[in-house]
Formats: sequence, structure tokens, C-alpha cells
Amino acid sequence: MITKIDFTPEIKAKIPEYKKRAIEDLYSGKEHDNWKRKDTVEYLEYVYKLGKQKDKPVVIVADNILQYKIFYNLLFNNKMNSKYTKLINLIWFIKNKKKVTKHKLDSELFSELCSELCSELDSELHSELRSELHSELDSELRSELHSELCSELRSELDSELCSELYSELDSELYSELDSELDSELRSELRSELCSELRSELDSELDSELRSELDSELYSELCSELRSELDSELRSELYSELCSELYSELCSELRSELDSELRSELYSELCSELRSELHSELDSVKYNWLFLTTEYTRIYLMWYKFIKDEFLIKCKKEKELDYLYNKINSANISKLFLCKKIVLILRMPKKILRNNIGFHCISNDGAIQYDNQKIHYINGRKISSWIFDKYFNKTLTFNDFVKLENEDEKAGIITLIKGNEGNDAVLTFLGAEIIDKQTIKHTNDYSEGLTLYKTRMSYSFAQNSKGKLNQPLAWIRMVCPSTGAIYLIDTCPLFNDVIECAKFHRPQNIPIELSYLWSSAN
Amino acid sequence: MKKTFEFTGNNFHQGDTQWFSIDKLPDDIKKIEKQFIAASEQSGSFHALFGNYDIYEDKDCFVIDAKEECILNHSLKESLRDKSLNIAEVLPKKDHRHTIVPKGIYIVGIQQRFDPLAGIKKKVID
Repeated sequence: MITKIDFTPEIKAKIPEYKKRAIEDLYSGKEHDNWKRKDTVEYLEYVYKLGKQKDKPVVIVADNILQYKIFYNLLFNNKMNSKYTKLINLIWFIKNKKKVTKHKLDSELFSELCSELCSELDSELHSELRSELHSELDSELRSELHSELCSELRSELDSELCSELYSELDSELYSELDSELDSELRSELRSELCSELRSELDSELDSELRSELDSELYSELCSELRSELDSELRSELYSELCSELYSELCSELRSELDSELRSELYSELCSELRSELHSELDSVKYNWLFLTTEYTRIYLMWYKFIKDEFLIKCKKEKELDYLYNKINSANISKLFLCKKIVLILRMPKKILRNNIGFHCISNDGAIQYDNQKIHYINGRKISSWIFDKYFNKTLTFNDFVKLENEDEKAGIITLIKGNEGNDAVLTFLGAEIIDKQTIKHTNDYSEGLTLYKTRMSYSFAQNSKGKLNQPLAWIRMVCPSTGAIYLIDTCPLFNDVIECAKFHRPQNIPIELSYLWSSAN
Repeated sequence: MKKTFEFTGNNFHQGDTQWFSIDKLPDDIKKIEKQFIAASEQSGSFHALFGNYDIYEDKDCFVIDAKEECILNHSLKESLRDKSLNIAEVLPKKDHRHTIVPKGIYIVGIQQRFDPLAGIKKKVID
């Protein structure tokens, strides 16, 4: 077991070396300059292999964020990707050397597709696709391409025809069934109703009339009425009952059929999906696929540090060592993983940062791509327009006041201060002198101190008691050795510059101790 | 550090390192190996005391017990080659002139700046 005791100062001292290896070339731009496409492809294919994916993915690499967005839409947006899906499938088939049926592809169609590929393969995505193709194609390309295209077309046609036929058959069968059911039901109902009505009428009339009328009249009336009623009532009742019963029976039949079919289909689908999911989950090791992010190099760095420095055995040593050795050259920033295709965004050309985070106060950008720069100051993202306006000398105090984002406000102060010094901040913010005194420390050494505060308060500025919406304040000091003027940020609560100077002494020095130097260099 | 000492009033500074003389060693301080009092993050320069002294560490400051007169130098790291912190000598200066530190006990710390965004004091960084 490894304990805290094993974490010796010697081992601790090695951490910066590991960190340096993980990020130095990335930040400096060396990694970007030395990048080779095949390193990224090999890394991804190895990860897919570790993830128990049977086939190699088609790898598409975007050089910058904008390109990544365009590629993403061309490849994955349903409204735009039909053509590219075909191409990706084609490349995937070729890359994985899939054996397909040996049907001969019509030579015309083949040449058409070939020419389409050639004419289309000229934009950025096409060049990516082309390079992916080139790396995979060998002398057997033509015959394989031929058979692949054939099978692909076949399968596509199959599926298209299938869906068309299905929809056609569906509607036809439905109408046929409907009409058949209709006629059958109608005739059945009709006969049933007729017999029922007849017997009902018969019995009713019989009992009523028989008692009141004599036999003759009875027979006459009976025959008359029978014929009349027969025709009138029969037709009326028949039509009413017929329609009611018909609709009832229909809905009953339909709902019964519906529920039966539904439950059957549901259970069938469920079992099928379940088995498919199980087999996929059992075979694919998704955990490996997570070793493809911008943080992977850090995870692997700690793996390597722990393994090598504490001499720990690891079952997956070979695999993890391979990934550790390759992750930097793979140069992956972000990626979108699918079974057949991986879209990758490369790392930036250069990264600038300080102890806090991404940081750059020049107009180069803290994160630099060929066609884009992203600005950060002390780890906080700053809008490009602030840098553009500042370096065009059109940034105004009103721009500053209108900003609602406190990070951006602080960014502007740092930008001006870092590039032009505190005096420029004073001018920009409109600061005024609050107190100015000269302190005679010794007979031959005097010091002039000045306290400044802005006229306005700023929502982001605090005093030493943590209260927000304060003015900004500075104490001006002059170095006795170099004459350099320092404007040191101070707490806005002071109005006496000597009290303010005491506040800036080290933590353990009491405020009561006089502000006097016996020597200063 | 327990306040079991008095400030004598003999204070001086070299750049952002500030020295405050006290009458005796404070309690609860830890003796450490001799080292730079401060080093610049950007310029490669340092403030360091050369001579016969002991150095102690406490929260946010050092305590120096100068057994005899020592020399406080502000120099570049290149000037340190073949030099020992045990020998009081003047080194080529970077920005600030050397300071002669009389025998005595001193609390040594770095000048503070106020961060208006965080509302707290921090060490001056150069």
C-alpha cells in the first residue's frame, strides 16, 4: 500500500517535469507545428480498438473552431448531410475492407459517381475526406470501390424501395380490408336486423290487434298494416339501427384488434431491442472512448507519474503507456464520436496563460487559431470588441460604464494597466488626488506619497471590509533606488496617505508603529 | 507568532522587502535553511541576505537573527555563482542598492497591495 510517507520530497519535486511534458509544447505552439494527421488517426483507431469496436472510424480533422462547426453541419445535420453520408459510408467501407456481394456495377453509374467525387472533392471537408481516402486506398481501389459502390447503391435502393412499397401496400391493404369488412358487416347486420324487426312487429301486432278486432277485420287490417308498417318501419328502423350498430361494432372490433396488435408488436420490439442493446453493451468498452478529450493528457500524466514514481503494477500498462506516449501528438481538443465517423477539432496553435488561467493582454489572443483568437484576462473570457477597440484607441469610458459584466470591466482595467501603466488607468477612469504628504525619514532621505481615488464608484470594486460599489484608489510611491513610480492599488477607505502607507506594510506589522525608514534602497 | 517582543523602531526597506527591528526572538517560530527573502517572478532577480545569521519562518514573514553585520543584496541569479549566503559580501546590483543590515533581530516581509476585486491584501508581485 502506498501511504503519505512514500510521497517523498524527491518524488514531489518530479511533478513539474511531468507537467512540463504534458503542456509545454502545446502552449508554445511546437505541438501544433509538428502535427501529423496520421498521429491523430492512429490514436483514434487505437482507442476504438480498445473500445472493442470492430471497425475503424472515418476520421475527419478540423483545424479550427469555425471549420469544426461547418464540418459538423455538413456531416451530421439531417438537412445538409445526405451527400456526405454517402461519401462517409463509402470511405468507411473501403477503410474497413468490407467484403460485399460481387455484383458488377454498371460502368456508367460508376464513372458518374467517380466524376462526382472528383469534382466535389475540392472544398475543405472534401480535402479531409480525400486524405482519409488516400491513406486507405491501395492498388485494389478500383475493384473494391466498384463492388462497394454496387452494394451500397443496392442497399440504398433496397431500403428506398422497401419503404415505398410498404407505404403503398399499407394504404392499399387498408382500404381493401376496410371495404371488405364494411360489406361483410353490412350484410350481416342487415339480415340480423331484418329478422329481429320482423319477429318483433309480428308478435306486437298480433297481441294488440287480435283482441280488439274481429277475425275478418283483423285479417284485412292485419294484412294492410303489415304491408304498410313493413315497408315504412322496416326502412326507418333498419337504417337507424343499422348505422348505430355498425359504428359500435366497428369501433369495438377496431379497438380489440388495435390493442392486441399493439401489445404483440410492443413485446416483440421490446425483446428485440433488449437483446440488441445487451449484445452491444456487452461487447463495447465505452470507458476507453473517454480518453480522447483535451484533459486526457493530464489524466494520463498522473497515471504515468503514479505508476512510474511509486512503481505500481498496472494490468493495462501497455495500453495506457501507448496512449500516454501518443496523446500529445494526437493533438485532440474536442471531438464528436460516432460508430463510423469521428469529427475532431485540433488543439489551438498557441495558448497563453498565467497562474490564474488563460491570460494575454496583447492583441494576439490567449487562445490562438490560424483564423481566430479568443481573449482571456486572468482566466476570464473577454469579448473581442474590447480588445479591438482598445488597440484601435477607440475604447471610451462610456463603453466601460455601459458594461454589465464585471469580469470584462476588470479586464479593461488590467488591459490598460498592463499595457500603459497606472497613470493611463487614472486618466481613463477620471481619478483625483485625495492626499499628498512628504515624510522626512532621516536627515538625507524624504519620501513623497500621494493618494488617488476615482470620482465614481464601481459596482465591482470592494473596500477592505468587503463592501461593494466603491471608488478605485491608488497610493503613489517612488523607488529610492531606481526612481520608478509605482501606483499600488489600495483600499478606498483611506483619506490620509500615511495611514494608507502603513496599511501596505507586511501582515504582522501593527498599524500603531510609525511609518519611518532608517534607510531605503 | 506570539507577540512576546517589542519593535525597536529601526526599520528599513529594499524594494518591496521591508525590515522591522525587534528586541528578541518571538516564540513559536521555526528555524529553516538559508534562502532568498524574495525572488522576482519575471526578471530573475532576488533579495537575499549574506553573512552570519539564522533565519526563521513564520506565517507570511521571516525572522532574521543577524549575529553580526550582514549584507542585503538585490542581484540577478547569475551573480550567485560560487557565492555563499554565509559570507557577507556585496554583489552586483540589479535594481536596488545593497543595504548594510546591523546586528539584531528583524521581522521581514513583503510590501502588500490591495486587490479591489477580491477586497483583500496580497503580496506585491514584481
